Amino acid sequence: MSLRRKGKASLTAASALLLTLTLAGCGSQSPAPSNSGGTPSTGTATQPVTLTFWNEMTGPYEKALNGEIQQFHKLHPNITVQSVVVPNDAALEPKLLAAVVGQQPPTLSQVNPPWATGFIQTGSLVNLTPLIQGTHGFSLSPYYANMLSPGKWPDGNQYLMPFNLGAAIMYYNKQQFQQAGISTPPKTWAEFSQDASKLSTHGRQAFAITLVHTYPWLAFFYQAGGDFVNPKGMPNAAAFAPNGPGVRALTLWSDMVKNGSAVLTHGYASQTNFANGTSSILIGTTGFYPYLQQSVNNKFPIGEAALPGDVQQATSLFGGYLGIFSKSTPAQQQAAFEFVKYLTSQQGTLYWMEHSEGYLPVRTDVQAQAQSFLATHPAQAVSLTVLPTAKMAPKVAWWDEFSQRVLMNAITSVLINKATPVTAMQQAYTQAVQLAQKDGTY
Amino acid sequence: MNATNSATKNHPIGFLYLLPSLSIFLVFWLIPLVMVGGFSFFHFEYGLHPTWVGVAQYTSLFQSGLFWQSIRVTFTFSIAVVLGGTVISLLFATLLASGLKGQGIFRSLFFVPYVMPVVATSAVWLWMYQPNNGIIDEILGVFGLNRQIGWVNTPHLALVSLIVYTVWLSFGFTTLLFMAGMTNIPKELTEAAAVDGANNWRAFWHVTWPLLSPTTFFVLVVNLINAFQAFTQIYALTRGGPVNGTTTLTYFIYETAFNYFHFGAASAGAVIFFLLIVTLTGIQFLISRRAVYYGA
Amino acid sequence: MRKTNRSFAYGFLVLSAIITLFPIWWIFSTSFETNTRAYSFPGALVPQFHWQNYQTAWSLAPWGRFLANSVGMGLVTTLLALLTSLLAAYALVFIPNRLNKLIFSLILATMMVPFYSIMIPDYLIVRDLGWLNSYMAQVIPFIANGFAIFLFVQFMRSFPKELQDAALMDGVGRWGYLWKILVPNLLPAINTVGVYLFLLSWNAFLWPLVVTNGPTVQPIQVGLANFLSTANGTDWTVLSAAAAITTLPMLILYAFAQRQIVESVSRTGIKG
Repeated sequence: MSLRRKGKASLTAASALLLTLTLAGCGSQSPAPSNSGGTPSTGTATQPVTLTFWNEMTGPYEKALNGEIQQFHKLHPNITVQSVVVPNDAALEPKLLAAVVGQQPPTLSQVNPPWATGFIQTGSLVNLTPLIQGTHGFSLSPYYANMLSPGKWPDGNQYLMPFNLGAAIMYYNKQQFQQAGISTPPKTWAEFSQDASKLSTHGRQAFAITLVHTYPWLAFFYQAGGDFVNPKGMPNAAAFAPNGPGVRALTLWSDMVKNGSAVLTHGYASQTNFANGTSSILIGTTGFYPYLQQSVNNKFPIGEAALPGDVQQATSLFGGYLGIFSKSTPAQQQAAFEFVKYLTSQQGTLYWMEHSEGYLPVRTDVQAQAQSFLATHPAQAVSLTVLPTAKMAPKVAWWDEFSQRVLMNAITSVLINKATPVTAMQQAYTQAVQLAQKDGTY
Repeated sequence: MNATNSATKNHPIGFLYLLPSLSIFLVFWLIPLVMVGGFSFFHFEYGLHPTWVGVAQYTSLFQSGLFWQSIRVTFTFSIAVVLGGTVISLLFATLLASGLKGQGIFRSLFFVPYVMPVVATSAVWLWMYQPNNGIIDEILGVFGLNRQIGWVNTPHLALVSLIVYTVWLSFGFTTLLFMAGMTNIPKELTEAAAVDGANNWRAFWHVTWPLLSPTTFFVLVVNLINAFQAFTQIYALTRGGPVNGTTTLTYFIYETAFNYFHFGAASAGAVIFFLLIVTLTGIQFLISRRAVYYGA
Repeated sequence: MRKTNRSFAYGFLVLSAIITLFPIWWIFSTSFETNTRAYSFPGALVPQFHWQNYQTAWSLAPWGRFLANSVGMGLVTTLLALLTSLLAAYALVFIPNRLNKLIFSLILATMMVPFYSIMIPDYLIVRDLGWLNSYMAQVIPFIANGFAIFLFVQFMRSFPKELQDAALMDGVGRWGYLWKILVPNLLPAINTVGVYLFLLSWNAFLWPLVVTNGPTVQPIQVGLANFLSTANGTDWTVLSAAAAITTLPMLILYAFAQRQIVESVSRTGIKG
């Protein structure tokens, strides 16, 4: 009996394997299966629809998002938004991958542009352009162009809409700046490193580097005029050159570490360093503000300023986008589109900025209505002034592995003095080319 | 009865006892493993569109420096965790089993890290490992020592810090295992050794240690499993860095599959890992047959 | 032991206990801190009993539901896994079969594979079984456990085989021998393995996260992880309070299990 049972089980196994491969194979023949017929019928469907929305809006952001969902439910009583919160990219990535492989994706999800490149290739994401141009669509002109373009692919189609974005700015300890005789925050790289060394003493480094992600360093790289991706989507050799922007930005940071005015920290420890006065300068997104305010708790005034400039003024954008998955029914896709439309509308954007305490509006036409909020929230106010110079990381398919593995390693090995900026960038270039050949571009 | 006879005979009834476990292993471990083996011959685009690539995933893994480095890191990490964890827990178990008062309290205290959520304790350890104002450097500072050590800042030191954390996490459990094993050793034997004039060390070495060998073997395996499965602490403490210094094979597979969506390559990595484990288990069993004493 | 040796041993144990417990003390004391003092040295060493963090943490998630899910799934997984493992170990040790060695090695090797590497195929299987977003998906794959089998095999091997032969002659039968003689003698091992299995289930994180979509069936680790970090920082004090909330039930359970283990050891005093 036991043997027979076993035989049956392995048969199921074999068929499961075959089934999986066939299913996966089917997808390749008909990309974007349920949306290929064009725009889903209408937005005024009276049938109740439930859509699932996977996102990373944990902690304080969850509250703000639930507020948005309640507002949306009032406007669209037939649509129910089911929010599924996961802690971070590291959790959302496996969850999304398993769901896509298993053909069970959510209706709507927070998606980073580099993942979307792969999901678009396999027809897993809905092209939003027909919906945006359709009868229930909206105009894209009020949106910030630099926030919108990472969601648009070279074929001219918009697949993602910007949602939770912040810009990197400089937070500084005003009291320590005054004591060191610095009246205004640094405007150039030279001033930045001079001020940092004035603020540092033996064993106390003024600039606490956060390297959970590469975006703080990328901001300096952009200031030096860098761009890692050339127009064809391949690694841009000039960016890695010995006299190029990569080497320049690495040299600035590593010199500061060597002369004792900067220190490499891990996780978000830099925020605590800043709050207890161990460091005086912190570079992070708009979203750092509520955490800093809470932990500094008026021990000293926090200053916010634009990052210093080099050959140009620049900073990096950091955050997530929204994408609709094509496995869902047309009614769900339409409902998800309505929700995206609401979240990025004037009303939704304003609510999101004021309640999330850390994210920027994605459109230009809400700033005027938010004057009183901005007056009391300097981080957002400063971020809005630097927004025109802010850049989102490229969305080529090789970017994530390049940024997290190659670039992160290059920066770290320079900062811990295991490589020179020139050799680190040389190696990074070789690896970037390999990755681009392996993973493709858009 | 006829012992020789019953030892050589096959009793099919045994399968009935094994059936519940085996069916679960089959469906949720073995079949998935076979599927992963199948996936490793394909290239996937974000989990879809498989195309047959033969052994290309394997050859590109073998050419990847990071893959070989992750194997080196896995070995260093595993050997250190297994040896460190076993020696430390044996030490504590011997101390606690020597009839000290309050041994129950200590045993409970040492066990506490094991019941704490790894996500929470690794966050605290990360804090302790910070340069300057991390607690370890603060304490070094009190003694006038260098307090600029970034315990997770350089590849080698980060690996050491990771090992320390992993041993801290699990030594309470393995101590408990050793103590359970020690209670199985008849008191008369150790007492007899004491009467014969053997000192503590000789009594331990000639009586306790050989009789403890099944437990020791088990603790070694438990620690090996801890080392192979270690993930949460790597993610929380170092994310495989700095400069891949703490990227174990497990972490490499995870990152390849779920951060970079290279599903086929990750599958090939998993297959290699499995073959490595099968080889190791085989060797271990060969050794254990000689060295482990199971009593009469 | 001599007196100097003894005080040295105590000194060593106390020091080790302090070092071991320090990180945990810090989590608990930080959970009573205001943000300003959290993680500053020696700021949070002496807690301030600022209960606000607990109120905040408690109000931010349905902890009751998470707790009930985790405890329920943990208990069911543990009991079923103990049952299947005892049966399997019994067969491997006491019912001779040429395949036993192979089966045992295969089970052990399979269990050492990191679960992440087979997570996607498992997801597909669980989907085909219709178990997505259910307790089943989080319990059934784990009701067989190689380590538990391994430990039971190790303990059972130290039982004289003649004892079974005698029992079989007395007409007790294999089933009766397993439950009436082996199991009562294995209680310390069963307790140890039980704690291990429960903790394994309790600490499960990535798999539940991947197969579930909401607090109704999600375990507490998934709930806790949402506190760990946001994209922009961490509220350490509230995180610590959440960690304390999730740990307390385990500590209480362990205190209970600990007494059981000690009692069963002293009661049975099994010999090797």
